[in-house]
Amino acid sequence: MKLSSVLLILLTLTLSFSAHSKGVYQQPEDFISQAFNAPTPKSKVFWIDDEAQQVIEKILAHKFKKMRLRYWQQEAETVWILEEIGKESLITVGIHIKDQQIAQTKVLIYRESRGDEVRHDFFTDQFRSAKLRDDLQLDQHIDGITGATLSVRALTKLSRIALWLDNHVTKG
Amino acid sequence: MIHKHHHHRKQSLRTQITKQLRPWHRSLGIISALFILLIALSGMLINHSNHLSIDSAHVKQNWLLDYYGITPPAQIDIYQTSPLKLASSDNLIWVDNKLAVEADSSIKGILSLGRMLIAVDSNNLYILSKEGELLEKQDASTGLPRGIEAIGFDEQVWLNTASGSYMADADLIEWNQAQPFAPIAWTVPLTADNDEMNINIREERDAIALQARSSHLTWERVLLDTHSGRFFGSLGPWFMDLVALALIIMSLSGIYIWQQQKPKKLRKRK
Repeated sequence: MKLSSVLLILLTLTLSFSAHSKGVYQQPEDFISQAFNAPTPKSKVFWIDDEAQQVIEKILAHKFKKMRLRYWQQEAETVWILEEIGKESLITVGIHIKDQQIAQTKVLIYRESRGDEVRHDFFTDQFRSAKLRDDLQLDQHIDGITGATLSVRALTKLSRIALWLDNHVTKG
Repeated sequence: MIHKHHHHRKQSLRTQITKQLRPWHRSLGIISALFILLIALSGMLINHSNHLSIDSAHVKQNWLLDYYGITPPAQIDIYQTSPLKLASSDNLIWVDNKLAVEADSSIKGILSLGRMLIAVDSNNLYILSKEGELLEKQDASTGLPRGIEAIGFDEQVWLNTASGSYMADADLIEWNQAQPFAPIAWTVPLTADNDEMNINIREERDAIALQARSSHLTWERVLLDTHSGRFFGSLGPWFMDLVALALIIMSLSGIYIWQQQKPKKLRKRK
């Protein structure tokens, strides 16, 4: 076989593999119903006001263009499905908050080609019972993962945003 | 005397080795020079790929895309050409030739509504700004019906699904199954009505096909493959290893030759 044809086959394989390698670890719907231990309740709408916009942009350290966010609430518990770019692609994360503490942070859909170690429980368990401090940081340290720095950062940012939003909607 | 003789022999052995080494050093240098240049230059560019935006520059050369075996999208639909060009290629949404959203599955329709664009695939709805920024994504967890087949507008936004028609409220928050009074004009891609239109749409379609292909390949990838040798086929990396080996041998022989010459020069200076 000619070298170029071998290369072409290899490349086609990698491309088709990467096109299908998107990891859906849990459908958002399933995450929500699992968090509440009940069928997915109707979603609520949080319209992003100036304050929320400022806080979210401060945490993300870049512009945030969304006009509203969906969330699910059941008494003092809220669930947020948020997305942020790790290196190149969006990571969809589900965050379940109970009594202003993180009950669970979970990677639902991971689209990056590497760094998906962040989906494992050994990593996400670190977020459990984390609270938001006044300076918008988590009150506990999250250990990084070599080679997945940006994904770790994305998950931490989204957890902080969810805690702030939860505080904002349950307080009011 | 004996010591001097011994020293002489040692000296001549070294000269012998140097003599043997020099042509090897020279021919290795000449043969591998081109590839060393290639490795060095590509390496420098890769080192600064982010700074030079090479990692975000997409390859638009058809021959290179062909060489990589990147095929055009199976389905290209143009929904609008002005004032804003709206198109989809398989699961990608294009706003004015810029990739706006990578949807989960094939796009079923794009609708322009006020200051927003609304696109659907079979299980998701995407609300975009006219600049192509994703403002919201809806799915079953937010109450969107599944199995979407088309999107249309008749006072409100309508969805045609496998399980019937759904109508949204004015804020596009809730979807309720409803029966339209009159048939809804479902959004369909532009088709070639006459010759002039035909050419225009064909051109737009070609442009999207190229964009979609080029979105799969950045110049950084090409540089990395050139640097590692993978670009030149499956034996390429092995060949680049040989070049690296030549460079290692040349460094060592170079140092040896230089060391042999150094005392001579020093002696001359004296």
